[in-house]
Amino acid sequence: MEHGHEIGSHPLAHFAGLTFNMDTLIMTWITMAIVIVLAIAATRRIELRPRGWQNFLEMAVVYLLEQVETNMGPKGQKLAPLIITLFLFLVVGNELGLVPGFTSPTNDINTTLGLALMIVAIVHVLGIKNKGFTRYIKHFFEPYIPFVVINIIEEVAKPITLSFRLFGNILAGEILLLVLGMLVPYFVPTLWLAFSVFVGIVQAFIFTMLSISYLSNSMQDGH
Amino acid sequence: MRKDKNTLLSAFNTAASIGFYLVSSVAAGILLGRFVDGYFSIAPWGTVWGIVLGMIAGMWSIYKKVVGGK
Repeated sequence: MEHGHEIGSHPLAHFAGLTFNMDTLIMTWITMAIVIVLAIAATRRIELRPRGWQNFLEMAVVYLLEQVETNMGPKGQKLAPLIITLFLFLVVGNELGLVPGFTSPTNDINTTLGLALMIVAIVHVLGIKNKGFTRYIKHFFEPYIPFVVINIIEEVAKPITLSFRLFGNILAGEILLLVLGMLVPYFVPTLWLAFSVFVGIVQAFIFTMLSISYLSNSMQDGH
Repeated sequence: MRKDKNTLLSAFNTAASIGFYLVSSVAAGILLGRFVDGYFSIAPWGTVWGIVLGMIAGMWSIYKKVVGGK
């Protein structure tokens, strides 16, 4: 394999005092475009008996709606579009890196940490909105007052778990694909490529499910 | 219903995420500990206690995840 493809280093662009990872930015745009095109293609001619893209998207949407309904109850319906978009973005983003010439937007910690911080911010805002400010503060001191330190560490750990799991799995998958391509060409990388397709879907699913479970904790107004 | 499928998937989800709770709690503990070290200039005690509390927090969140029913 040539030395043209480096994973983990990004072409940088500087603008207005900020640094941009250009490949991540462009791949994110491509992912967004694919998600939009997919959604339009699947809903343009809706049929009672779904075919093609409509079939695939309907399966994902129905399953996620079911999860939202069981975990968050009827209140969670408002968040369903967010959850479904998140899942589609992650699936397309994770699989994009397996196409030669493209990289995953999710192999950059900035993307995954951004998504995780968005989820955690929504969790806290919804928590304050649903429980009220005093009860929201009080839940940090449960079950006993000294647990406040542990609860705060847990809250800080949430975006770290969410983002690093996705980032690590996708980056490691792409690096291993390149290394295998150099060491044992053709057959073994093909197997790993097939497995990476599975890993991409599973990681998108885990990220979405954990987001649902974090969000559902802040939606509950009982105990 | 599709209860079995859901249980299997959520079990898979738990299994895949449980190790990360331990690691990320320690990471968060170190992060907070280093911040405390810098703020109060008491290095290395902030980091040391951050790691210890991070381990406890990791165990606590795994306990809640496994025993807490959800």
